[in-house]
Amino acid sequence: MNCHEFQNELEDLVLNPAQAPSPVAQAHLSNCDPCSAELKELRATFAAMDAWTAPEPSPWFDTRVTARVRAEQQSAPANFLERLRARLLYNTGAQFRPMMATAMALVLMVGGAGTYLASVKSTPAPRAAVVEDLQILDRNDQAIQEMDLLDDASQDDEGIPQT
Amino acid sequence: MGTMALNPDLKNVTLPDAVVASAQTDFTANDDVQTMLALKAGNLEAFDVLLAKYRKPIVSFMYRMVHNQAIAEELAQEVFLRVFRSRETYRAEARFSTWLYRIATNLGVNHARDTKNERSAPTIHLDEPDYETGTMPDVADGTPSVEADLLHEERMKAIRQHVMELPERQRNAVLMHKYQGMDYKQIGEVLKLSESATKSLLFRAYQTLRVKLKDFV
Ligand SMILES: [Zn+2]
Repeated sequence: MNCHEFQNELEDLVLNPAQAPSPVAQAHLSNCDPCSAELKELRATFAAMDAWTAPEPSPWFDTRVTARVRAEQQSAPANFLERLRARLLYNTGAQFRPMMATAMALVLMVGGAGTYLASVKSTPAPRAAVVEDLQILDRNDQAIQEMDLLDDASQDDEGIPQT
Repeated sequence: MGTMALNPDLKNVTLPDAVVASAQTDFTANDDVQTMLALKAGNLEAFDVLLAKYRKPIVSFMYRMVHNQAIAEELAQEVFLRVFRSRETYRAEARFSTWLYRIATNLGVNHARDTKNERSAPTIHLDEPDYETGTMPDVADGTPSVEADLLHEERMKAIRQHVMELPERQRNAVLMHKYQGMDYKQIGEVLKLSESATKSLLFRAYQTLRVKLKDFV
């Protein structure tokens, strides 16, 4: 084994500090001072890095997370209705037309045209269907946003991204 | 941990009977994906299980990214909140911890970018206050233990400084490899790099640190 070949194994030896050099690498190490010094220094550096310690989480960490989760759970329906309202107000609504038509048809079938206005006020079943459809859209939006978040990995400052 | 904070008043209200019944299941035998799927199904006890398991690793990971415990905990809370928010869209495609560290890495990196201008580069000076203790390093008074403490302090700050000066990907890879005990295969999954790219990324980082930390080893 020459120095160049040893470099390939050196990577593994550094990244898995528990790993022992193979017999050929061992033979090279005992004959090559530069390689042997390099391995020794790399392992010493790796070991010295233990000095950088991190504090324990504070005792109230769980309480805070739990409080935030709870707050989110309690505000979720309101948020949803706000988002629904925003959609209906600020959206051209083109994508909802088939859905609205279905809802309207249901209203007409169930209550007849005469009771339409009254039934809108009292939150009839067709509205629930629309809400359900919108919830599905909403979930899809969330899913897309989350995928974006995950895909928005740190920009490449070195290395080749896996595609 | 039979009933932790999230469960008592919520499970009887929102969960179907079958899920409530399975809330009694002992999760310690299950793996993370199963736990996450239980959370997805509405079992809130599963969230407490994940929190108990990953609270410490995630807080320390964030701590090393931002060097400030209050900010680290704030960001770690955000990580867990996002886990909770994503419970319904979670798909068991990757290892749970891979997904978790991806969220954590994104949050940490974004925080670093947002505060970059305020702090003008993540340079740490040896005379800056210690965030863990909130104290300035004392001037040596000659006693051996104080000298040893100072040496440890200086070494720790040098390590922190040179790790933080690495390029972003190298830095994140080192934090996961050295301090979170992750192997390069999983680190590659978190960073979306191939195994061999991750390997050489890490190796280059340790080579840089070998040179920079020569005086502290
Ligand atoms: Zn050699």
